[in-house]
Amino acid sequence: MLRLSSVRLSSRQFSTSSSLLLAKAKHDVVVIGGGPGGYVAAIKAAQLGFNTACVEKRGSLGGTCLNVGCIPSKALLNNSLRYHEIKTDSKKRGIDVKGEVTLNIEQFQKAKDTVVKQLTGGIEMLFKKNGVTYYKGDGSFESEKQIKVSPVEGIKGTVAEETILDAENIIIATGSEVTPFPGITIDEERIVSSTGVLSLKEIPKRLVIIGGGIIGLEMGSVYSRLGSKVTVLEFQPAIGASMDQEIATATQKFLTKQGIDFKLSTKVMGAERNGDVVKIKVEGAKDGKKEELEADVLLVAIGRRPYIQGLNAEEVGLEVDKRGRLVIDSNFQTSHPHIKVIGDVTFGPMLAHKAEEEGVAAAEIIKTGHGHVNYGNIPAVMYSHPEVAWVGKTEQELKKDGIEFKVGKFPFVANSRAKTNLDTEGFVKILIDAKTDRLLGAHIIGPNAGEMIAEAGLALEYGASAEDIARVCHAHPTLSEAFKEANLAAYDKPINF
Amino acid sequence: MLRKQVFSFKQAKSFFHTTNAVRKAYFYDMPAMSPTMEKGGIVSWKFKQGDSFKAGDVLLDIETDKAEIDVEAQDDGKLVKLILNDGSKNIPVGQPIAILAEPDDDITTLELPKISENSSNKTKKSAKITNKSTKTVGKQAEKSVTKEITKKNDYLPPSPVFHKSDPNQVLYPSVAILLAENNISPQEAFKKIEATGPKGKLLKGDVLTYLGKISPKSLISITEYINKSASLDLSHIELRKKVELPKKPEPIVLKTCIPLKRADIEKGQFTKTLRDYINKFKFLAHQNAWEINNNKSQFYDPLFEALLIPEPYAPRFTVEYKLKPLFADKNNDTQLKNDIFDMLTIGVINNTNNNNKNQENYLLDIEVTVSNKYSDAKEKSERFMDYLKTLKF
Ligand SMILES: Cc1cc2nc3c(=O)[nH]c(=O)nc-3n(C[C@H](O)[C@H](O)[C@H](O)COP(=O)(O)OP(=O)(O)OC[C@H]3O[C@@H](n4cnc5c(N)ncnc54)[C@H](O)[C@@H]3O)c2cc1C
Repeated sequence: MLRLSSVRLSSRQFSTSSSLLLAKAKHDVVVIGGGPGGYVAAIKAAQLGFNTACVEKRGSLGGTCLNVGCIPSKALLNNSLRYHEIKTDSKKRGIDVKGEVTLNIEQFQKAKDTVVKQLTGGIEMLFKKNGVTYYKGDGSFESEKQIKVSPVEGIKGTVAEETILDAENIIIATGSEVTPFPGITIDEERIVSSTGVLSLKEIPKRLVIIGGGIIGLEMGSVYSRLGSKVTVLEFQPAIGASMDQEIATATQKFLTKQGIDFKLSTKVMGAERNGDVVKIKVEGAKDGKKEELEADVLLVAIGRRPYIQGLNAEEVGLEVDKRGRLVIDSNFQTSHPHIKVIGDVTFGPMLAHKAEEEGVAAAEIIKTGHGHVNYGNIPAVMYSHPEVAWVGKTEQELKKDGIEFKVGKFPFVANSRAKTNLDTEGFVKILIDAKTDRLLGAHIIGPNAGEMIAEAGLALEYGASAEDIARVCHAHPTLSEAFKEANLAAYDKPINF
Repeated sequence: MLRKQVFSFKQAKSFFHTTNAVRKAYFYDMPAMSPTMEKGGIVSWKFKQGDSFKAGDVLLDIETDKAEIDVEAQDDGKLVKLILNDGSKNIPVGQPIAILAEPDDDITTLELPKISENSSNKTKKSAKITNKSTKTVGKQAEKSVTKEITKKNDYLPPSPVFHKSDPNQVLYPSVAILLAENNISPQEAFKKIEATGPKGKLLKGDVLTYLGKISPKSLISITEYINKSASLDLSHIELRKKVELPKKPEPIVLKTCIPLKRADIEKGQFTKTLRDYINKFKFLAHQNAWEINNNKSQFYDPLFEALLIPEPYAPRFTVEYKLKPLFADKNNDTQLKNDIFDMLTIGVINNTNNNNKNQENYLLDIEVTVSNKYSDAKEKSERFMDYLKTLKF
């Protein structure tokens, strides 16, 4: 007979089921990331009738753009411009300011934070309104068709437990992160990224910026207006990344006039924080001349890189290219047709409105098989003063591609509204096909250029010629007349210049 | 047979009342049944003068060099007057062939348009024409239709950048001016000029090309260039090297061998009892701390504890065992795999001829495979091994 020593035997049966406590949910569409790409995709998918969920680990929606990108930076840009104008520009307009104009940095930052809070909260409301289920947590692939959402410590309202979402369709919109500079440690205090520079508690006397791209130049503008001595270090011989060369040169000129120093063709060898001072070693890219700079704050703004950390994307068979982007086809599809990728984490310009367009298109593709993004018509705006905005082809691109083109230009000094505003820096540059007069590109430096570029976008989308634009009645006196005149200049002759 | 095509386009009615009068009659023009059709004949009218018709009714049969086609009315209306009768041939597209009016118009009081009147004063009001029931005229016609459809207008080499002009488009300012300067009516332009703009919109370049002012080559190349920039260039993707995924560690397997003795018990009963014990050990070994702990402190919250442990009820190990009769025929090994145990036992035990023996010695070979997914798997597997040691014979 079998004998047994005293072992307490429970009457309860052992269950082999592996998921007694694991929460589960099922959705038609699961979007990972709640930035401009992800939240727009989620709302659109819900509007198209899908049971949709969005997973976001930041604790608030809106992604980079609303939390640490477009929105806070524009708040600082706008308020710093007002401060600077009141301080330096009032007298000649006949406004005498009695007493000192000073900056209340605490309120200055608070104004920005309030906007961010309102806008991110607004998206949460939109989710409710459209019936998007919002999971606050870290999303990762459990399998091709399952997303695991894990709680994130320290975030209010994070999922209570690991939750498995069964997903018919998945849209990845995990965005991008700051590209680190090899050898420079960002402490977000003295050596900061674009995130830290948005929340400085005092105005640095000397701000050095590595990178003459849009983010660097915008932040340079903010702190230069607030009194910092700003130096921009750029490895390339020109600033402004993908700008038309003529525009980039003119931009550098007006920023220099505003007091920003540029060191182009300059290689940063390293930087170190010593107490409250950052020492930066640089070397001329051409002449090899070595130099050491000092700054109270160093901003590292050399770009952003796709972000897929912890996503388990490669584990489920998604491809990643050499620059870390998730690989897609022209329908945003990965090697798994039900997994789509949009926004900064994949190909194309890293811009919020591009991500949004893709969000809509991806949702529509899931619904109907068709979605439309015109990559030839994605505007870019730098919110300096004056603003710099462009859409379509640059002169260099057209030359490189062997396209015959005509140029039309019109300066704001000849525009009556700009004149009356005492705000005449800049010009409109129009590029059209030499034969058909079809609009190919528009480049604007000027007050409100960011708004004006929308007209160019509309024209591009409809295949308009410069004549079509010039024959549209533009109100007088407005800045937009300069846009009209530049088009007139492109195919014929301007009237007012 | 002729390929079935749905001709659905709208024809403008030319009103001759300039006031907002309710009573209106209008010309009905020879419809174009294909983008390239220039002339056609009337086979027969399906209504008589004074008849009313409904949207969808076949108004008349038209004959081209390729086919006979039924023409449907899109709106309700009344046939006021036939201008050209059955059998009329070689009627140019756009020439008035009848006068129509609204269904409840009184023809006797209606002011009729004069034939000579220019039809440029047209207001938009649609009459859809389809060839729902197309009839063939001959085999030859079949060929020419297919050929005609794919052929672009003469002034252009074939290219996918060209589309049929949308006849309902609003003209761009540059296009409207160019057409007016060259005495081309919009209708003629829509018919004759191929469009490169979005959704069949005529662009300045399209008209310039039609007028021969620029070469079709320039138009094609710039359009191709622009269309190409509309999509991302995904042609030169360089994949990064697959990041070496951390290799799944070799599973840990614990093994042991326990001698057992069967006495005064039937073999079937023996194996069943053994199975029960192993299952119970498995259960006990899987118990979590809070379940084992008898003297629970008041701070002890099982739900909270459960939260700390991932998937607390998932199996941490699997068990496989073999029961080897020590002095028996080697072929008679009773191999038992955990999951299919029942099947095996029923199969093996009931059919063995060893049932009659009352006493036997065995070796229990046990293999425990430890799951690598959980940090507490090893501990629980070891606990299972400890329980096994309590098995005595
Ligand atoms: C300082 C600055 C200024 C900018 N200014 C402009 C501007 O003026 N105009 C403009 O167009 N663009 C601007 N940009 C760029 C813009 O912010 C980005 O292009 C845009 O945010 C990209 O949107 P996205 O949805 O692809 O990604 P993101 O906005 O980066 O959103 C991705 C989201 O996904 C979340 N996420 C990532 N992984 C996971 C995961 N595994 N689980 C759950 N959630 C996850 C992240 O937390 C993040 O919130 C600026 C950027 C910066 C840094």
